[in-house]
Amino acid sequence: MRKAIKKKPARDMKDLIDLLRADPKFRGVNCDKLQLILEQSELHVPARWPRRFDVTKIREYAAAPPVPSRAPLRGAYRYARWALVPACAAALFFLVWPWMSRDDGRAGTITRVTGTSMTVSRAGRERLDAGDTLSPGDVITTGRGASIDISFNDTIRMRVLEGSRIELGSYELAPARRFDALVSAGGCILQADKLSAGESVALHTAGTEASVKGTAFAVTVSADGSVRYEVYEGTVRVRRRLPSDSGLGPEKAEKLARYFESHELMLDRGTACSISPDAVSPERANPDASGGRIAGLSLPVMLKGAKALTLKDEALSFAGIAAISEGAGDRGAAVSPDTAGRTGSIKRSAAEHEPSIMGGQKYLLFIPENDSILTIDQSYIDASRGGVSLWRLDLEDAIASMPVRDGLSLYFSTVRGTVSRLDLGTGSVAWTALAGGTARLVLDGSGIYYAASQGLVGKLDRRGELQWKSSVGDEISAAPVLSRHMVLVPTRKGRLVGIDKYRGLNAFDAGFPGSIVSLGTKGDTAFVATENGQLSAFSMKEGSVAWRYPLNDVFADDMIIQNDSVYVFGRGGRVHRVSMSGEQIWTRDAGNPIVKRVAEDATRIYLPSEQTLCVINKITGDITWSLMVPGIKSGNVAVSGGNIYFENEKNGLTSLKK
Amino acid sequence: MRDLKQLSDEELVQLYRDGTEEAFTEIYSRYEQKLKRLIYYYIPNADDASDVFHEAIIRVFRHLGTYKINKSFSSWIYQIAINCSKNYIGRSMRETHLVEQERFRVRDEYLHPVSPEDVFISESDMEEFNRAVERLKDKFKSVFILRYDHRLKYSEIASILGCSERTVKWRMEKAIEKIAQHLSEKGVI
Repeated sequence: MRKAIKKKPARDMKDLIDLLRADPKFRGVNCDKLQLILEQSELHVPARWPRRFDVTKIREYAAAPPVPSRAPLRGAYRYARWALVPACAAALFFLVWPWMSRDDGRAGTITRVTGTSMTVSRAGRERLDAGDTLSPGDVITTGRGASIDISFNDTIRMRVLEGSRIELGSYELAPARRFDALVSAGGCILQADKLSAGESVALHTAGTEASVKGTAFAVTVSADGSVRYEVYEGTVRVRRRLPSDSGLGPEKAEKLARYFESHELMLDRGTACSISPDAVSPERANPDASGGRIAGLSLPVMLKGAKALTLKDEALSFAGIAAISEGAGDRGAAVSPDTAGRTGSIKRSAAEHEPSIMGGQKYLLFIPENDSILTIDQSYIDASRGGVSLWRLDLEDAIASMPVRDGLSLYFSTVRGTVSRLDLGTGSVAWTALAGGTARLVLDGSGIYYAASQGLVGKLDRRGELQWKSSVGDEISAAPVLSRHMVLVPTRKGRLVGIDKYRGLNAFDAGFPGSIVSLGTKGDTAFVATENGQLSAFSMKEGSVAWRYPLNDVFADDMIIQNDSVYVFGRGGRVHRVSMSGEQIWTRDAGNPIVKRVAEDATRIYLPSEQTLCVINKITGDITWSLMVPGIKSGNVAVSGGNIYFENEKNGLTSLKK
Repeated sequence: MRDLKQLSDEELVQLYRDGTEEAFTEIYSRYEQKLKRLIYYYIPNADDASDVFHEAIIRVFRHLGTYKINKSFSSWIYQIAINCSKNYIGRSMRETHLVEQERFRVRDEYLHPVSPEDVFISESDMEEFNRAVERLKDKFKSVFILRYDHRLKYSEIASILGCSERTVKWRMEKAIEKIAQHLSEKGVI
């Protein structure tokens, strides 16, 4: 005997059947009958269940300690079989490791020597000749007029210039390259073949470091202690570092390290940077000083154009590097990192306005409504479908921040302080309104909210008419986000200001330790990532911080909120998933620095870097796949239903199957 | 004395934690039929399903202390029931046997058609429908049953299965597509 329970069919069942009707694959299928089956059938359950225990008995059972298994070995086997996997992996590792780590005698081979005064402080050996080998920890010194070329497994080539002292770190070349060296005087030119995920090549001076991504660059240390980096190929990340003998306490050292990290520079081909000696020692520097800069500590200053690169063909020829001719790029502009953005590129047309916060890169946007790809450069917006250009809009003023899209409308701000709506169907600008500064945008169904750099916040309706205007009295540090009733504005001084969406009235003002780097909301909770490496949850209902989680990372701008979790990204390449209640679910190192914008779809996170596209599963944190993609030029990848779009140096706009 | 029937699940849990034993009885009566129904889908044998239901409810009782009050209780309890059912299937290795069981039937009210056009859902149609559902991959099947039979919201299913709401919607669409494909291949629709 079975019991039937009357139930209405799920409301969306009809919609799902309608989807089938519209699908050409199911043309000719009798969808009405399927609908009928779904509506008229049901899961059957017994009319009467065998009665085991009443609820009182269940309570007694639950209160009693669990009964030990009658077959404990069976339980042990259940767990032991999982332990077999790591055990086998470990056994395999120990078998393979000696083979992998074998020294083939070619690592660090000197290929050319000029001059006579080179010494290596290793086992009493004083003089180096071509064919000699070097080991980790060796110190190389070159005298006046002398230089040596060293090849490390033919994948890293180094020329030590005259009057230099270079200490090789504890480098490894196989199976993955992990190379570093300390330049304490003079200089060297280094050329490395393109790096795979997980490889690193870096040069240090006492107070700076440069990590490379398959490139050629030079570093020189002057007698007065100033350091200069010049990039001839690829990209180099330069940042200050604390000398190893700084003797600072861990707290101060960490603060300074974060400060240096947040002021690092990305140097492209043809650019250089110089770092002056510090006016005060790190011990005397005050990392808690307000204003964002620590007085007395120097930061890298970018040099572009003809003055940037000083080495000539002769010096560079050892690794097949060509000197870059004069006139390439802008000429002789010195741009500080604060105004240059991450890559230091500034459009000339923007010179009289505020700088763009686009980072000098192109961004791509997939428009599902007309299946087109939008390329957003600072000076133009271009729409294309299947490689064919649909329209192109040249802009008088550079775009200031990431545009936002709603259907076939794109809203963008410019360095002249305006906000415009662009019709993506025709490529024409529908209206332009004044925001009063370089603005970051966010939108919902009722309008567009802008947060201009100097703290001006406003709302425009869909026709571009101002609805309200407010001020938070502080510099904006990241894009604002919307909750149900509020627009949340983050500031450089670590304030999170909640403004009523409808009237523009300040609803709350909460303080966080350090500038807010990225922000997200779910329900009544705002998630705040600050520059001190902490993720906090702020309850807008209670007006208080619900929890804080120290992730000790330097956060990138993006934050994703999904699966009841917050995903935040460290610039070093680490992805963290934290639950809504403040517990870390997983953390994963993607293997490459996160310098481009993160993309996502329902199940995956896409992390593009200069050379690699890494895809991470949102649920497990596992790397689904990672692909070497040489020369990704766009600042992000655009993800559609089945494709991933990006721009690369060789082929322009390119798509990959997911 | 408060009327326990008026309280939400989460309030009942809190009350039980505070010492009101009757709160658990109320939870039990609220979920008894729902959980049995869900478990019966995985284990279509009344005796076995009943055992698994009790195992699940004992587990709920034992671990109520670890339940986070700000999460949905129904998702939590459904999750436990599904886990217990899957564990049971794994233990007894009866999956192949279970596939042959009949799960869906035309409701009694439609068994005696009032008009000629209602006749065309035959027993063999229902057999194929059962087969189509059985052939769904586990992830599609779970979503289908929780939505189709239990009428749970997509967000609740997402929280039970530990995936995103969009994934659940996508799986539901795929489940319907696969069922339609099977029925069309067999000439039912």
